[in-house]
Amino acid sequence: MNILTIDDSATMRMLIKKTLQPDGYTILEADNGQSGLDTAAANKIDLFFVDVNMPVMDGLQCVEHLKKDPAYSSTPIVFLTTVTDTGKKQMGQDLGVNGWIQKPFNPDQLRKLTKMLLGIEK
Amino acid sequence: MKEYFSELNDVLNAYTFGDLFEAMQAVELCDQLITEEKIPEQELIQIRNLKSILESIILQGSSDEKEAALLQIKTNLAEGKEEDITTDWKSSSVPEETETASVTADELLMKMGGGEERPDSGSFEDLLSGMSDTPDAEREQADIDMLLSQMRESDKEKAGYANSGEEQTPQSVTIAVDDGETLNSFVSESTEHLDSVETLIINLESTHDHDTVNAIFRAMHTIKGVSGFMGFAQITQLSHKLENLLDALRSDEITFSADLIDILLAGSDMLRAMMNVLSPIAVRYANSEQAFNVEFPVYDIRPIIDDVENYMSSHSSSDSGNGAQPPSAAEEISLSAAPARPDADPAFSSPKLTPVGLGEYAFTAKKIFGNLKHSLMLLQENIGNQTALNEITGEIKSLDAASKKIGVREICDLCELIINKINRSVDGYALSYSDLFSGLKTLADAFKAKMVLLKREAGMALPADEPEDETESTPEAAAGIETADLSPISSPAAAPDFAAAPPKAAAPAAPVEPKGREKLSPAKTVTAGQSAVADPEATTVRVDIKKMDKLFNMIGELITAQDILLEQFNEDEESQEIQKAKSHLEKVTREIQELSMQLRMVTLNALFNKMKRLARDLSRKLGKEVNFNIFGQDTEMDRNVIDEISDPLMHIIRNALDHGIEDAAERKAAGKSPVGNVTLGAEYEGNGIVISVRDDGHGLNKEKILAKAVKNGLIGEDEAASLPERKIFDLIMLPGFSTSETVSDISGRGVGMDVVKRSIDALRGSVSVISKEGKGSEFRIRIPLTLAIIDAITFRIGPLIFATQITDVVEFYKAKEEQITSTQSQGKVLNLRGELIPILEMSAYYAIEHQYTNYEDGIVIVASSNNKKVAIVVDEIIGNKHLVIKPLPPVFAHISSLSGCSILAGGETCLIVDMNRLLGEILDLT
Repeated sequence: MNILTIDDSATMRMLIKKTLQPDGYTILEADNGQSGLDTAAANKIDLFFVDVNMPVMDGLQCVEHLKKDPAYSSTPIVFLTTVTDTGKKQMGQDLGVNGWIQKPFNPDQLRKLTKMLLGIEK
Repeated sequence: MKEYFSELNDVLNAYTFGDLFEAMQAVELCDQLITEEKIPEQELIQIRNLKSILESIILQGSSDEKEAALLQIKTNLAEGKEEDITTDWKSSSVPEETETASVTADELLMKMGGGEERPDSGSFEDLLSGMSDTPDAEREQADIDMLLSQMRESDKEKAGYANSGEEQTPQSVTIAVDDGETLNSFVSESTEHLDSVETLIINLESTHDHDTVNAIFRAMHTIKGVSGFMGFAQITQLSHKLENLLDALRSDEITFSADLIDILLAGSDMLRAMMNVLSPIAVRYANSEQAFNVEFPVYDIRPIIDDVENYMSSHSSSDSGNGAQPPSAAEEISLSAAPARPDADPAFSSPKLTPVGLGEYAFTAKKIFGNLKHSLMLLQENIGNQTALNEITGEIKSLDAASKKIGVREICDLCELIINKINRSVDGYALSYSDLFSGLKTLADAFKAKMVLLKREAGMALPADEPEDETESTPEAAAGIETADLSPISSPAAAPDFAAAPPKAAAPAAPVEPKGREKLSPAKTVTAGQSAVADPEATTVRVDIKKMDKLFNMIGELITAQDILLEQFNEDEESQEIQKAKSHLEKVTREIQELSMQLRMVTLNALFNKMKRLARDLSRKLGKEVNFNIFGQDTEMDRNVIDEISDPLMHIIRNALDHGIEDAAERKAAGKSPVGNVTLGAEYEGNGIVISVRDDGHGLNKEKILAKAVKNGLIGEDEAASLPERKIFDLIMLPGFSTSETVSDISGRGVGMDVVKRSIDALRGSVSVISKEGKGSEFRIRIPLTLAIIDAITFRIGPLIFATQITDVVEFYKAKEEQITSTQSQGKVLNLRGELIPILEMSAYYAIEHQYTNYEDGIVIVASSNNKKVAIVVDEIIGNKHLVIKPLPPVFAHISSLSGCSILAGGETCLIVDMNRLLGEILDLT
């Protein structure tokens, strides 16, 4: 299972990686929306964690592209975001993301959620 | 079972659509409830429906329909629960739990400790179920207004909170860190962000550019996010505040000014100071897998936060005329228009009051007050409990949001007021708890009173009177509920009304949306500002400079060892294999060496940005308007050298701004633009780099310098008369030139210039001054490129072996006696193809014996530096070698024009000549 985390913070990516890698997933990383799309094009991604605020291409634009891509139109996408982004959360919802996770996240919950989204566990 | 149920209710009430964790938690609670035995069939169906909707939200995302269905089930369950409490559940095992579910406002207030008991107050239960004694509506409204105004009064009184200091603040806090790698990543990432942020902030001052604001915002955003994760509350709070400020700026809610830049800089400086504290700890534990504690000092972030708040209130672009706001007036403003004219605001004037909507609101509020009570108890047990405070904030925010949804502005105002109070305390203030408690008490009172009014206004009874058929809906009906019925109560339907409210009354949430929309537009160009944050920095690794130095030394040793080894082979006896291996080895070591040199080279960007900041701060302080220009910041230099020239350069720039640039009046009088210009630049020159600082100030006064030098006994009177101009300016760099006694227009110019010169000399560089009185001055620092390894030509004069960088060598030449002539002015010159080149006798310069008896015996090296050519006569050219430059031993340090030494393959020492200095000195002498 490939999980792509798109976040401009290397620390945030590391935290996700450290949380999920022990469960056996392959964690791919991208530091902005555009490189995220590039990574997604070169690999088969099963789940996306996308930050909203990023340079070059932000999370919303990135998701917009992903949703248009037939290969990923139904792949689960989760926003990792902060409280201040209420408006953007709504926009993400309009774009059809599965939902959002507030930073800072709870590692156990993230693990559980990942299993759920990947259909490994209900 | 009831715990699960009430927990589920809590989760659902807190749930905002789209929050996956909350949805997941609710699913789990549903599961637990489903496995319970005692649950009534009807509720079981509802819970199953709820679960399936939640799951579909998690897996496929939420939609309006799903939200509506979820809300409906939630409402149904809430009603069902009320029934159950009075029937099954009440009679079941644990009676006191029922009480937990129904918290009275007074219990809440009593637990708070601050409030006195109110004998006549009813419980929320009463509130929700009919209300027996309904007071006069007008009186209630008046009461609410009074409460609000009382609260604001007390808030004003507390405005002097900053100095109250009644609560002891600890010197440091202990923060547990799970693993060192993450901390290290956080610190280096944040530091990189802060590095770029400083430049961006300075640029912002001149450009006012949105992309730059965005770039700074993103950096703060990241720092906030990650520090929140790591538990560094102060970092989070500070970056959050700055983020707010930037957010207001990019949405044009506030205006630009130099003060804003000051605040941003102060904020980023403090963040950097915090990172500096963390940095050594992060490095120490970088490879630690185990958790450890960090003692993090408590910083006084209060002044910056005050500044941010004051700025945001006094520079609001919508009421910029109101510049004279009192300090800490942020809350005042957001409230000022509220209760006085309750109907002025369209969003609030016609709340969406449907029976279900109001019932939902009352229910939510009840839950919130229940949770508040719990948190307050926690807080009472442990004053300063951050979790409890966070919970209280969260609950009040939920109440705020719920109140907004149905348009109860009074409650919103109170909520926001309390949130502000708490936030201020979180941001490092001592929180006055009695203040908080009385605030919450007021809130509870106001809420009760408002509910009475609302009920009457809506002309309806509360949720208990809901049509029965809704409650009895079948699973199919519940799952398939159409928007037609429920749209008035679902959040998206209510939201637009609220979004229409003016930003002042609407909390931060509302204005976010339009900004966000802009971001979707595809035509977005990446500007310099953006790329500064996005830069390849993301893939860099920070390395301890000591390790780097060690690496260079090792590579140097490697090359020396290789040379010694390869000397052992006799070319005639070598097999092909050995020859191949030799050339391969040489190729690889050369590449390693080149790479290692690149590693050490960094651009001057960071240094120049630091200077830019210095210039900015200084010009603000001096009250002089100065354009600070920069060129050549991409020039690369050895990192160690950059560190060394930072202080001297800073000194020169300070002098230029302080003493070079005149004040505006003087400049005008001299016919100059009132805005001064200072230019900092870097460029390659020969095998060195020249860093120059040029100002268009009043320049140096030759007569005054001479007079002062004579007075201080640095030169004699007669010497002064004949001194060439360039030498005059050099006088200011002599130790003892400047004394405490200052001479007006050159005052301070010499202060510390001798120190500058000494620092640059230590780097084997030179400082020179060019100045035109009235026009300005230019200070030029020339630093030889001190690469650790140079490509050199080695040659011998008498017993000594010298080397010079190959780039300085033009050609070798076997001169004939007739090509050499003696001249009056330049001594001996070589006539090389019609060009006259002065002959440099290094043997004379260094007082060594040479072997050649006449010039035809020796060989001439034509070298050039700084566009000057010279012919050096030597005994023998040894060869072309890669030399590892080592510093000269202290004994030789006084010998001029040498940049270092090196060990050759045969073990001999060779001295490396700094051609530029040698030429400068020798040609000066002649």
